[in-house]
Amino acid sequence: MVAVAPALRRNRRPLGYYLSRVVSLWLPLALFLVFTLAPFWYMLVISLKDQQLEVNNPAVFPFWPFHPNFDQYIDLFARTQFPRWALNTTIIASLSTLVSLTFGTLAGYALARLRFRGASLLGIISFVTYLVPQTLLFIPLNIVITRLPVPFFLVTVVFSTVAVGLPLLMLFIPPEKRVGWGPLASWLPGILLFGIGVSLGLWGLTAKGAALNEIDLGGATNLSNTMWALILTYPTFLVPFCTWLLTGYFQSIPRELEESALIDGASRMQAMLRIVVPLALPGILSAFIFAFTLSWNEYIYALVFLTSTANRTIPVGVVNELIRGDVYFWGTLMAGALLGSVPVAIVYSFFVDHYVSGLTAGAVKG
Amino acid sequence: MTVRATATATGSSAAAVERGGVLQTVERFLDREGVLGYLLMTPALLLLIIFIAYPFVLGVWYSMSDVQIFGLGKFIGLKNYTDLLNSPVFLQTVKNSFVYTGFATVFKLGLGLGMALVLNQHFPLKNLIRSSVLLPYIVPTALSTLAFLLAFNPTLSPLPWIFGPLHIPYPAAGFLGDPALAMGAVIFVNVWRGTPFFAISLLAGLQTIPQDLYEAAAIDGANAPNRFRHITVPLLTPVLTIVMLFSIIQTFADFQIVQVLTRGGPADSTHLFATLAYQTGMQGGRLGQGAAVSLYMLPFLGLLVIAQLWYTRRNASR
Repeated sequence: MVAVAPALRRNRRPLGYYLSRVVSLWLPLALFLVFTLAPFWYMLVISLKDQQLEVNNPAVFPFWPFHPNFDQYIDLFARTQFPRWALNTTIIASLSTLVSLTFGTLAGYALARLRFRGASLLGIISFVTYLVPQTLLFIPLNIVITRLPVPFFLVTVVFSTVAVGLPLLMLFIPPEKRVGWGPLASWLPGILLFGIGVSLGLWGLTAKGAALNEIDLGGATNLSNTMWALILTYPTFLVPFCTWLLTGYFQSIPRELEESALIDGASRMQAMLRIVVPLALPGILSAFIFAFTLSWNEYIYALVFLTSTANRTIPVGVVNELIRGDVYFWGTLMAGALLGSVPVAIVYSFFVDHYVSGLTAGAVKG
Repeated sequence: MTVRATATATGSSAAAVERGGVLQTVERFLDREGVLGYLLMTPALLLLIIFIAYPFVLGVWYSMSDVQIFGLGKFIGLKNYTDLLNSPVFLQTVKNSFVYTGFATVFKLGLGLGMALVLNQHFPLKNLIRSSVLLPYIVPTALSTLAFLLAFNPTLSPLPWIFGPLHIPYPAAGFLGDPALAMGAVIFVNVWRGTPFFAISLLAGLQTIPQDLYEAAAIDGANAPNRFRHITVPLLTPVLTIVMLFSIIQTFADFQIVQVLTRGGPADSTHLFATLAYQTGMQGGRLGQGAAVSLYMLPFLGLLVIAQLWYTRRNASR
């Protein structure tokens, strides 16, 4: 007893402490949490409620499902094109993220490490284009999309694949082996990449790819209403961001590591891929999460460039196809909205720290 | 390790001398900084030229032509721009955009700063709470706005259940039926979406402030408000400025919230540049005028971008 009493006394704090703790922490925290999370709770409740008995009856308490059922979710999958939109969004977001990360890593490395004329101007350009909002250019961009002739598109694909493939080929083969393997073997990775790029490009424009896009490309000569319209345009805002984020990351990696590799006979590209890129993985991961969520969430390009119901992405599909006429199916709408948010929420929850460091990279140094 | 690597390198250069060949010359040429730099920039640059620079030039041309859905249209000079200046809808839109941006930014800044200060304390489940606060910012805005579309509905809204006990009358036409209330509603949703971004960025800024500064000030007898004013505010200003400029750009060019909630209505009271451009150019088919509406954003956006660039570079060089 005697031993416990002083310990108790030491831990006892004045009532004022708890009061100030409530006022300065718990009360505002609770208010903020309700403010940010209540809409999600509300969506969940509406999506679970019995539509006739509860949602369409304002007399029923709105924030709790008294007759919960999953009919709205079943509806969403059985009666709407939601699964299709989910597939579209996944393909578009993955491919545009891949393109952006590749282009962004290459450009970011060049800006961070290599001395060439105009490097600082290019750095400024990438920062400025990162700030350009999508709503500034969507009308002329739509014209580019609807009128960009297919051959031009193919040339673009080919050219960028070569541009990526050429340096990449030097990555995988150590210099001492390159020539020894014979010219063809040493160019193999580049050729492979080139082939993949071209066939992807062709596939998107031929009957097979069209089947997935559900469009008649027989007479079509442009990209409008194909997934390629988004896969190619999302990188316009993702690449500048990735470039700019990764330039910072690459700069934070000590030059000495790379220089010793260069002295040991590695090529620049090898030094980049084997030494700098692995060390910059946290930054690349941040860029990946950002690029993926941004392209998953994008609305205006998807709304303008894709015109048929089957080609929609989730945000546009749910908003524009599930709201039809005067009858609102609120439950299905909310179910779609929640399910459409789940993938980004999952990606985010796994990599919170990387997301936050990417988010604040611009504002907070280091 | 180094010895072996050097040995291999010597071996390879010996092999190179032995075999020589065009391929090696090409490789060595590509490995030069001046060449490799451009090579690595090419994919990104090409993309930006085709899908940013070219559309931009095209947009300027279209904004000075009477183009409809097809054809190139003919050159009409600045007529689209002057027509817009005489259009009440456009003038309303300009006003709306600044009201929307101004109010939303002030609220986001205030609430975000408050949230950051609260989140900067120690409490149980700190990490979970900090990360869940950011949810409104990361999920698709068009989708989360649907919750508000129902919440602002005239008949099905749940808000009377909250307003009733507080004795606030719920507007008969819902929040989206009355011009002033509709503007308030879209601003509210924007604040809801954007506050977490401010909060988390400012929280990161707060965490870079060394704790001993506060301790030293406390020993010198500075009270909490004084410590906030003389330590927190000045040290947080760089972060605050960059976050705010970034947010103003995004808010000024916003599209989704208004498009989903009101489509610019009622009576054009919530139209922003982007929604008006969409309505004019895409739904109305007057591409030229639509492009002109978008491009009217450019002077203000340009100023913000320059300010942002200048401020970021100044900070980086310090």
